[in-house]
Amino acid sequence: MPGKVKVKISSGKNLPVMDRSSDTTDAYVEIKLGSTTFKTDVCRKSLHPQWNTDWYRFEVEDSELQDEPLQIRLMDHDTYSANDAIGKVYLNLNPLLLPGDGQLMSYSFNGDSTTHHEISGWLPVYDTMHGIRGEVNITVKVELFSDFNRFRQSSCGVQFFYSPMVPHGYQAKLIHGFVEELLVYDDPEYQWIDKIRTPRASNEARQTLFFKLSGELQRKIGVKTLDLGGNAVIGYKQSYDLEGESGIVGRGIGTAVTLVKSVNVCSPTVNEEIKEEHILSSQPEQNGGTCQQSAEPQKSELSPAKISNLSHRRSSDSDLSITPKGNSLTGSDKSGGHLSGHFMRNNLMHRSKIHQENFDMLEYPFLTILKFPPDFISQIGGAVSARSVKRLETISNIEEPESRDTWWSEIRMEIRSHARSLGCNAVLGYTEAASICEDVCILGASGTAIVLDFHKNEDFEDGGSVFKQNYPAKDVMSASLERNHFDREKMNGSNKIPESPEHPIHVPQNTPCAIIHLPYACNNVPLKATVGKCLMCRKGRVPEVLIATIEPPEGLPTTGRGCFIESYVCRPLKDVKGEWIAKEISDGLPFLEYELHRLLINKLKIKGMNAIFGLKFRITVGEKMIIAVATGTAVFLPALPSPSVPKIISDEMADDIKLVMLQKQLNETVKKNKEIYQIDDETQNCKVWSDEESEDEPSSLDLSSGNKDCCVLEVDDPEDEEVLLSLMKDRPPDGFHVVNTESIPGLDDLEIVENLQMFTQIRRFKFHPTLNIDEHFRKLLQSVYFKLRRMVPCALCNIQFICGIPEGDEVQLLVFGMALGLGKKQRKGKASVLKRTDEDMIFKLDEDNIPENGVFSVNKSSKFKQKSPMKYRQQSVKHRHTPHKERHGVDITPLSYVPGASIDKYLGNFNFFFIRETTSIREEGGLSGFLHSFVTEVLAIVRAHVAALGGNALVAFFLTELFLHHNFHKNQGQCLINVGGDVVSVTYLKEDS
Amino acid sequence: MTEVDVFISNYTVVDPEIYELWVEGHNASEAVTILNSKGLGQQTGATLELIASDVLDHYRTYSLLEKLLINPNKLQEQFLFQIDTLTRSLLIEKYYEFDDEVIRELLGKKLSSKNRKDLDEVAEKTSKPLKSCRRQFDNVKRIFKAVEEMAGNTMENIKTSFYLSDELAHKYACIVFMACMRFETTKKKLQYMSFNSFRICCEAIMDQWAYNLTGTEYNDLEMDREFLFELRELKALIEKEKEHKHLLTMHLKPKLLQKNFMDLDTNFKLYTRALLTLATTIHRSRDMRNLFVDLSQILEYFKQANWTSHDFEQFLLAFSQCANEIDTLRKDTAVKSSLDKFMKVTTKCLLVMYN
Repeated sequence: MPGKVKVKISSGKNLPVMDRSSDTTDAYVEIKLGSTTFKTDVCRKSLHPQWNTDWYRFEVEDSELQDEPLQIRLMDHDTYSANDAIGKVYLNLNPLLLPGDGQLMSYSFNGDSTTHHEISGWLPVYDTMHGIRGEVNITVKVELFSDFNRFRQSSCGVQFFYSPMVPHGYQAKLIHGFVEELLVYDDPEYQWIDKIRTPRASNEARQTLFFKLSGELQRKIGVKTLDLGGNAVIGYKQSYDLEGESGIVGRGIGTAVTLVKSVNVCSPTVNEEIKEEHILSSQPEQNGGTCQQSAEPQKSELSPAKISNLSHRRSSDSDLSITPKGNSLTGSDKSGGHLSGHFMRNNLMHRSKIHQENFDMLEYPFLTILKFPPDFISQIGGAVSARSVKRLETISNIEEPESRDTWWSEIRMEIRSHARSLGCNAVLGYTEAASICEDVCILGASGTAIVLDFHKNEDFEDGGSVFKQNYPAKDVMSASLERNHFDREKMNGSNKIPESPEHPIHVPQNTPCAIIHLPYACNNVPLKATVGKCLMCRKGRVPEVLIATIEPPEGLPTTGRGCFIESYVCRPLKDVKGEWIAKEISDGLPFLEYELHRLLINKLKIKGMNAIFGLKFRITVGEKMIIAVATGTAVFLPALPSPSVPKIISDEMADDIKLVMLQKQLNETVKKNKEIYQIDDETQNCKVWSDEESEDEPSSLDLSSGNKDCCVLEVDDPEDEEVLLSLMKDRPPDGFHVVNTESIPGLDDLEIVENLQMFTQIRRFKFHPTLNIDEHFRKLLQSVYFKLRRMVPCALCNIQFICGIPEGDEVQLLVFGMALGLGKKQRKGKASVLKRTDEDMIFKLDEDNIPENGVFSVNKSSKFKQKSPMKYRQQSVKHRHTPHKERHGVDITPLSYVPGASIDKYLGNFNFFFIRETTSIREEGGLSGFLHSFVTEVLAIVRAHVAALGGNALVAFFLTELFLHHNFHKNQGQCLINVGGDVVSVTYLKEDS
Repeated sequence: MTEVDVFISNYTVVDPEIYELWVEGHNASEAVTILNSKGLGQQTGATLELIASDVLDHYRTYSLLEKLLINPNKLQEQFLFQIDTLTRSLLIEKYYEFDDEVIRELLGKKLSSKNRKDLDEVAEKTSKPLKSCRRQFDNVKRIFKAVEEMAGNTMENIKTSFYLSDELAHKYACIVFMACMRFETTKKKLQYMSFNSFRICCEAIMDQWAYNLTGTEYNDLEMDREFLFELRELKALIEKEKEHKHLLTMHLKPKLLQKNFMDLDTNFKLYTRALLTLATTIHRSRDMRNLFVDLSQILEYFKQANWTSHDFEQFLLAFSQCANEIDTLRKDTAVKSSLDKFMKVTTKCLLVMYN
């Protein structure tokens, strides 16, 4: 059951001079796969050698094919002394093992040689001591032979997607569930042999190991996926824990699915519809509900800044008083007519399904994806997270990394029980993370508990109409309930948790607000929550504030624009070791999380919003401090109550006047924020958010007795005041729309038209844990804004922070994200659908020239007036981006879509681990210079590999680790970086107007 | 204290303003000051620290790019930076741009490493940063070495090997030409001449006197020796001095100011001898080298006599025109055309130098 790998080396170029005396190089190439090595002839005295070799053939087991990278090493031949290494190319062969033409394998893929992929082109030759040293032109082909062995250890053909969603052009026929794997290897850097070998050899041993680890993880997860009956893994995540002495832990988690190619990808209608950038909240008519079509004039009053429109609504929600954002339309005649976001372009999807029996069989009902096919979720429970602190001890038996497995299963069990206690049967947007400092390790996991609706799926199956209708791509997201500080520790110990979700599942209402209705009665849950009637349907119960770990759902009505929200907490650690430090961290965690949470909620209220999506938690531990970061995208949901303005209190009555001033300032900030983000909640405020009409239960709402921390700000000392002021002030400059989700909720008259720039900003500084870490994060973002100042108006999406504490008193912050060009929304066709009133038109035109910082008065005519001083305003600001006619090079984006283009093909996934070391850090421009050139080279290598696979973009790009060690006195530095993503080939859409 | 502060993007961003400061040889802190004084901080509300961090990012990128800029061929095919074509040409064009003052100082100097070391004098004299002078010196030397032996049109050669614009390539062609001819340009008498004057002169010389045979192994960096030898035949004119003078005075009388005409009448012999001596001797490479010195000598006469430039031009134009009407020359087309070629260039140079 082997595969045959054929490799051809044609030539090299721009090689370095290896022989100083003659200023040339005598280069040859070693090609290694597994234990087989071939060598080319020596090409004498040339920096641009031509080898033009025949095919070198390797015959290997397919499991080896998956695990082992193809290693191509360029050497300089030396007659009298040892041959010198020029550099290496590592090739991951997994993309070549995928079935050709994007056809995913059926269950028993037998690897017929229908694979037509090849890797071909110029690839950079990389040396860990010198960086890129020329290029080599390689062609690699793989032929697989049939394999029917049921007990095989390989999983060729299972495609892995880092994209946290069903890939474009595919439908998820079946979602099988959570797959994971954990591997432990010795770290070559810590082996005895490292003492006698060169740094280069040691770095290369490590790089090779990371490649193998990544390959093996994927192979094993692939086998598990095949066992479940799947053919692909989506929402895949891989992380490495460098535990030092105790080795390297590789972890992979993902969601096993059965993907099928969608029928009408790129149907001619798609292009047209791309122009229409509304979030169309159409409800699939699964109940055969007749659509009531009524133009409702009062809607424009309700939300003057919104589009008033024709709305097709279900009869069942006729008392709905707030329009869903955007237009609803019937999906009767246009297949895929409901273009939902900018990015769900051609992702026309059949209804996916999950077999309840199978799913219940799974140990963990977790799904790692962030976007879901429609009608998957009936209700949302709440965000769940679990954390534990462990001490690392050397793993005695590498083959059985039991302790690590046990640690993680404890955490997963905790998450599972949290979800169940919230009356939920699944967890979405599940992620795991670890932070290590010396021998202390914090493990954490989080996700969103939801109720998966199996019955609906089955009904469909019974009706025999499962795949007949072509439903629009729609992300139904879960939003998580904000619980007033869920005390995890307590939860952990409590025995009250029901072991299986036996409570009745609510029959889903067909209102757009249904998914945010709580799935549990609050008196059944061991936590305090403020709950009230849904302000949209007046039926379901909703929480006061929503937090979600996932993208904002498509169907969910929102008001106004979304914005980035974050909170940071830094706590010093006592100078103790071993068990004591572990205990200290463990004891402090709840307080840390509480503080983080409190800040986040207060910020949310100051923004005048009531829900957070895309929440990410990150805790980093260092020798002297621990830093927690929470980021998310805030939005306003009309179904939830408008947030109350936080009250400021103080013990020191002497400062009474000051307090009043502060409160006034705060109120004004909230008001201004509401204006800026176009939140109009006046109508809502008239309605009392209460639970009074509730028949099924006595009033469980007691605002006064609820946890007050979230509405009250205490200002007792200057430090508190500082925090308060910082809560009020951060807002991105004009022309920047910042979120950490994939697109911007409620971007009214603009749309994302093109990719501008993937950016990374890295800062490292001395920091004392008693100081305010906020300031540094703000500086980090400020410098990003400043550096992108020429790109406005632009959207910064998928902003992600990575925080590290490399030394006792040094903090390293890394932020990366995507800058996207905003252009005028194309209003083309669909005139009958998108009818606008004149009022809206005025609004649009005005908005065109208004920087967001300009305050506009919310009156009926929606006129703006400019007020605040225009910070960050350039004289030559472009007001609109128009998509470039031609694209050059390879696009890299952390998003899962490319605006202005459609993804034709997924060509495989990359996971690179690069190491770079130097003994002349001063000569390379210091630490900054060293890092700058290293990251630049890494991106260049990644792009070259994308191009060699035939792709022109890398989506779902990630940068998970960046370790930077240096010794200034020895003039040495070392840097490790882990990057990757999904290789795709995209077609840029031509402007047809 | 910030130890690392790095911003990296997938497409390489070039800020034309900062790039120019870098090319001009300002160090990062100077650049920050300059940018801030131009009002960047005020416009954007950015702190000095922020501007500095931006400048340093750009400076790091540019110094990584410099290796490629000195070999624009490599910049075209490199993969390390994703740069669009427009930005790429901007990068090269700006990098190869030079200050006329600096180049003027370099003219006539050997492009040796010794002279490179002495560039601080140039820097001082022109008040340009030393770094910028070095860059310009290196650029000239690099281009000189690359095209010196290359066959064909030098301007085209520079354009194709360095991806420069026509305008800049023209300028470099002149610089290279002057370096090849080793024209004497440093004499005190010539100090007043700007680079631009030399450039105009050289363009004319290259156009008229150099080999201009495309498709051969020659390039236009060498003088057309046959032509220079033919110029010796102009001795004949000295013999026909009287006739020549007669024609010339006839022709110029209505055109010149009285005083200039009088001067011409008296000094005709001196003037014509000076011009013709030059013509008949420049086949000797030493004399060719001193071309501009000799020309300035001729100018000296006219300046002393306070000729207006208009009249001077009339005289020069009439000089060859009238000589052609002399009987003996009228028949000898070869001599006639050499005289034309000679006078075209000389006229141009003298006029440029006269102003």
